[in-house]
Amino acid sequence: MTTGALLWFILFGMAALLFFTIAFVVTIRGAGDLRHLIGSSETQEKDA
Amino acid sequence: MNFGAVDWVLTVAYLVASVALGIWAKRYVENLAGYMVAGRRVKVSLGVATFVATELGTVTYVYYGELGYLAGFSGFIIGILAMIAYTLVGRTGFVIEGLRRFRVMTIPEFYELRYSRNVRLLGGIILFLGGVLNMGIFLKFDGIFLSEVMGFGPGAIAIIMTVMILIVVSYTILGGMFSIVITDFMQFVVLSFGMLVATIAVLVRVDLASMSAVVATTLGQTGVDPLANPRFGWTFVLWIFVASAAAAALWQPGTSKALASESPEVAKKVFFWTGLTFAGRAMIPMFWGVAALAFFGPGLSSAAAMPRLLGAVVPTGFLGLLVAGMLAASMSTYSAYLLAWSSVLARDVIACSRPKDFQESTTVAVTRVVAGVIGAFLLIFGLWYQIPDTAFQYLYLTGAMYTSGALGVVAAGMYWRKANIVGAYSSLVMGAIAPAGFLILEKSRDALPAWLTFVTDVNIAGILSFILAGLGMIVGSLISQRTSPPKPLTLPVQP
Repeated sequence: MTTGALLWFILFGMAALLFFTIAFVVTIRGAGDLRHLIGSSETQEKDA
Repeated sequence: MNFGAVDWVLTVAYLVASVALGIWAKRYVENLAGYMVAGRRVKVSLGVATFVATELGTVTYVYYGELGYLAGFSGFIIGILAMIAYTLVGRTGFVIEGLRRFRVMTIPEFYELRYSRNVRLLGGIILFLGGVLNMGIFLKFDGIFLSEVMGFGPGAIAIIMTVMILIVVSYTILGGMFSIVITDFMQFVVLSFGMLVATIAVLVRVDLASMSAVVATTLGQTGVDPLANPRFGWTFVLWIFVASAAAAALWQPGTSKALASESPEVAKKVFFWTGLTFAGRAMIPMFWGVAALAFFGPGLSSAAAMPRLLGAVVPTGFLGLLVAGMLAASMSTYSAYLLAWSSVLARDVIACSRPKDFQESTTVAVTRVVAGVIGAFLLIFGLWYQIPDTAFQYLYLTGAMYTSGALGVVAAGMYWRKANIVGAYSSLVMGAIAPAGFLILEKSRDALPAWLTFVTDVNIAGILSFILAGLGMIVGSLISQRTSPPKPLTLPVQP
């Protein structure tokens, strides 16, 4: 394996890890945010 | 061909769920702000999900996969540049914080606040044209990707394109940004899982040593060094970095995520965390492209190589998840782009051509009609247009038609007191000249005089658009301070 390719594989590994970690956290926390968005919209609908 | 009955069930179930969810979300659209910016109530994690989903379409996988197949690891630099640019915008709040504070719904609205209604009209026209041309190739690439992965071949491209646009147009027209945010979240989860499945499948079937070897033998040093690669070089690196920063701050589909955020602080966090995913967004599909080079060797159609690899290495059952993930990626992108460009045409072009703005309900109705017309146009354009060079550069160049001028107009309008109407017009027009020149002259390259051939170098045309736009703003403003005194920003700043 060439040194250049090895360097890019390491950077790829870090980038992929960061992507999937953020995706996992956002999936968990985003569900709560979505409930808040829908909940606040329903409240506004009733107030109106 | 691995696409079996289980894959069909997963794909169809996903499509039905997407449409049902998108149409259900229509009930939450209570007014114009609800339709266009989801009532400005989006929090950080949901904002990141919808932003990533918008910026990751099947077209993104295809053009990055194509670059991986053609240029090896050299293209990976694009992911790093985009990550730095987007996280910088998120950290500093460059432009997006100000736009959110002024509570605008489209970027050209700021032109009217800072300059004049006519600047807004011109900016709206350029943004709309650049945006729709940019989006024009999405459908075609999606058709290529899905027909290859599912094993149908080129004959199915037109049918796939038609089905996809019909589905997205239906729920975007009805539910606006609410539908987009809600469907984007589901689409984000599905596309992330699809990407994980594809990456694992590629790693299982294609080893790293053979990828390194094929890049070394096929591309040599140009496959690992972006500065040595004739496709890239310093002009490319500089252009892509500036263009990424400009797109981060001023590309309506992305910026609308800041405008829909709960507060300017939330908008900054959304951009920062989304920026951190951008290295992976580019490198993961490029990695698949390099794997396709190792798996098949050179000589395949560059756009079809990576999808064909995924169709071959992802096992039955998981292929349905992958296709659902790709459909998710595309639909979230189309919906956000359709809403962005239809909002701009309705609010910044059609309404601005009249002496008075439309009423809110009329604006929503006009936006819905325009979204339908854009959908029809995209289908026709995608079937007919032959894309020059690689798709990646086409997308950045059509984007530069607008972002270069907008960067001058909005950034100077926000941070430079001497910016005035003359500077704004000059910046918008001069920023669009080089990209438009490339798109028109590229096909007549051989007939051009030698001194003009530099315009047909996509990297030069791209960087030139930002230089000309900046010069237009600075020179135009400085020479006309007496005749056109700058208009101060007078709108009260609200949270």
